[in-house]
Amino acid sequence: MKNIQYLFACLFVFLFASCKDDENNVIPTVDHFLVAEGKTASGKKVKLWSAEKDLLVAYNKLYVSVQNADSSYTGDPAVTLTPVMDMGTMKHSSPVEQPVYDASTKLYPAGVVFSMPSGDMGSWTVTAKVDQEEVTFPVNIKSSPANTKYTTTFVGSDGTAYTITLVDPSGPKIGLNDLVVLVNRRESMMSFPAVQGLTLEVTPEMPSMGHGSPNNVNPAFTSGGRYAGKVNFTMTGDWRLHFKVLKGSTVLAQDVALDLLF
Amino acid sequence: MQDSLQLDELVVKGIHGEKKTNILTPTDKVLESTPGITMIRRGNFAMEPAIRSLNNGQITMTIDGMRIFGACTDRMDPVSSYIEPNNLSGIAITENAGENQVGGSVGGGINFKLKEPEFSNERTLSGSAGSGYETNGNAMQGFAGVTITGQNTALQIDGIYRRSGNYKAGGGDAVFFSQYEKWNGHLAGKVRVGKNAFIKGDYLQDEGYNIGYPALPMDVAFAKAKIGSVAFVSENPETNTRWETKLYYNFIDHAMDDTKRPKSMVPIHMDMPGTSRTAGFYSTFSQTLRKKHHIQARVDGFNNELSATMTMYPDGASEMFMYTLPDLGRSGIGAAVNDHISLTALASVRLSGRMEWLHDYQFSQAGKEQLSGIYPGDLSRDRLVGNLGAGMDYQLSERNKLSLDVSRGARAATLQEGYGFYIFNRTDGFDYMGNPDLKQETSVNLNLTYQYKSSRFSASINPFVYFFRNYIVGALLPDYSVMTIGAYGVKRYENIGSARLYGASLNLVWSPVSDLKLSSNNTYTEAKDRAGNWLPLIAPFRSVNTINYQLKAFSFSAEAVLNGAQKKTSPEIYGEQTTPSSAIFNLNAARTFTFEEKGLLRLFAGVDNLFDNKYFQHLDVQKVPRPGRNVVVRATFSF
Repeated sequence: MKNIQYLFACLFVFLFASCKDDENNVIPTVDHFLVAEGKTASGKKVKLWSAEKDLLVAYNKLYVSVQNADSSYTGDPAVTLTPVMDMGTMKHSSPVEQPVYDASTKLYPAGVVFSMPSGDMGSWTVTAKVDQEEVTFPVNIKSSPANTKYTTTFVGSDGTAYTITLVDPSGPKIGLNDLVVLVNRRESMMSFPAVQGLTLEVTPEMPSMGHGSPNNVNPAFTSGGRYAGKVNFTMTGDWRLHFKVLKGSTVLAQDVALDLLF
Repeated sequence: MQDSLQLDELVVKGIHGEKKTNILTPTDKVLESTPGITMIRRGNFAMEPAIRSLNNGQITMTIDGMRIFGACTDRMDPVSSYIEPNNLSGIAITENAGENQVGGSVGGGINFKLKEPEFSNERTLSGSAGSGYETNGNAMQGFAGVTITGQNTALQIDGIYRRSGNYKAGGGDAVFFSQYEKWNGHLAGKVRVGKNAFIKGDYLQDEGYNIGYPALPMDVAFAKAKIGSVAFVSENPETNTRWETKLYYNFIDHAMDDTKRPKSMVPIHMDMPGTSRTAGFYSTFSQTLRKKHHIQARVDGFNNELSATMTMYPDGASEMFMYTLPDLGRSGIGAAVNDHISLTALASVRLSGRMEWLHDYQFSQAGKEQLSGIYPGDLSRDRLVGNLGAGMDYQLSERNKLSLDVSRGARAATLQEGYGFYIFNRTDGFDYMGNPDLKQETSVNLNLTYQYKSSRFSASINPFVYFFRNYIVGALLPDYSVMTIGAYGVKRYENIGSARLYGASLNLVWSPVSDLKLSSNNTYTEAKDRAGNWLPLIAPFRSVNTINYQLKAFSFSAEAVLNGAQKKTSPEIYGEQTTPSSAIFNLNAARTFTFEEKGLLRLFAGVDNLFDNKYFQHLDVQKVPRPGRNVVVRATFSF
């Protein structure tokens, strides 16, 4: 008798599971973490996913999925993300690499830089705008681990406030790593457009030892606000990346530092 | 030329005297008193031998023909530190690269031959035991060994323990971190499997603990070696042939330690462990034809894997980890032939050669990734290394003999020279990077030996010269920042176009009456690179003069060891300073008691550095002073 129960249970699971496998209803097969979900006024289900369990004061790889009420997908509506820090007396946003639809995963990968942690100072939301309809998700941003600094703001010699954010290596290892940084400028409290055409020079250093490493490649502009180069970590531990930032021959900043730890 | 230093036969030969025969003297000190050998000293333990100042990868060191490589990145554990005189039947030193059968070299090699029990018609039991004490460092040693022989089986077990506290330099100042403790055990067995064939097995374990290296920034928590082999030997006295095939494996586990040093000497606490694993085989065949033609051939193969890491623990920051030897391997196969032909009663020629193919590689992904930051692409390398030698001996007259040797030697860079990662060299104070694209270092060596021998007097004079190509030295890497706190900069191993080493030795033995013997061993070497800079770690003039007197069961000896000043240094290029001359006097006396039934008791007392001079020698890293006066007493008993 017991065996028959098991058989039914298995059959049920099988039917249920196969139903989910229906071509048009693929749930984003993601080893991503669901951050929040909501519905637009017209009933579209909008979900925000993250590549990492926690959202940090750093560059965060986020994904948006948009489904109809019946969980089917309808083309690729335009989606934009706006992070907002509400500090009571004031609000500000932060740099974003806006989502671009990826047909193979039916997801919108995006990059969002959170510039400070959630807490007593204020709270973060991310607003997704889907075809003119908005869904706002409250998000909790944690500080990056002690002795790390993945994003920083500096005021250049041209008086403009810039942010520089580490995109890669997201999983640093000993040896030569791909280095990607994102540079944005603060046009207003709510607008942080990408900056093209700067010259960056990178110098790694281990602050607890005082030594650097050889064979680094200065990041060169690629697209958006991204600059790609190479960084050589000769050992694990605390590493500080010193950036010299130039615009043409004008030095915007002599030393802007990001800190890693692995 | 094959010099053979039969430790058990030294007294019989009467060349070097009592001191070297004593089984309680550590291997490095036995080597140090061998003419032509100089020692690089980093502490009171594990001095590293050099043949005519050529060292490290320039020479080979093998145990009973087995390849074995130290695990320490700072050369704290030369192979000679893992064997003890009680394990050995002899030490064979070859300065002729072509005649070095075991591996490619530019300066020859040292082979430590393990003791082997012999078969006998009747079952016999013999043994020996002894103990010694030294006042300087409050050092003691104890050893014991037993040999059982029989018609079809033979077994031998020996072991030694030695320890020392910090020694005192001349004048009485203690040299801190010069202590050590070690034990060593060796088991050898043979079983006859045919009329002329037997199988033998060897297992040697050597473990050192709490070893101080006053010349280096770190000490050693432990240095352990496990060395094993099985061999099949077939000997045919009718055809004068011997054929031995051996399989072997050895494992070295080494850990540096800075926890005993005062905090002020340790800017960052770190762990630096290293391992070395070598598996291999060899097969040697030798035959003597009509007593005039002696031929020896060998084929061999080995695989060595080295791994060393460094983990640093800074105050208030995260620990830092890296490989200093990023999982490196070397495989080799080789073949060698030595042929000694007597042309006439007066003249003979020696022809020899070795070819080997070596493959260097990295055996882990993490190791490869780490070096990707320094060198692009696949870093495995292949090399074909060839060594050739030719020699001639000619008996000019009854008392005069002339020998001439020409050899061409070649060696691959060591894995440390090829792939090392910021390895600190205390000799010049630089961090060193490996260079996988090093070319082979080669040498052409000319050796002339003239010997005169009469019943009371013998003399030999031996000028030699080495012409090197692609000599491997460190060259400054200006854009690299140092890893080791306090290092002066970073160097990378590079080939320099050429270098030259030349010198001569003069050995005199005079025995005016039969119980009295005076001997003098003198060696001089100097070496320059292409640009005329003096090369580092070259020993200056050295003269060891001994008087031995035998009075029935008593023997007395007095020894003067003179080292000339070394002013031929190039501090700005190789970071080496000059060294003043030194003169040290040693005295000793021994008495042997022979017992009627069976047995021999030998009592020994000696004073090293009689006048308590404070001194160091040129190859002493960091110029740490050597031991002051040391009174040694020893008793050994054998039956």
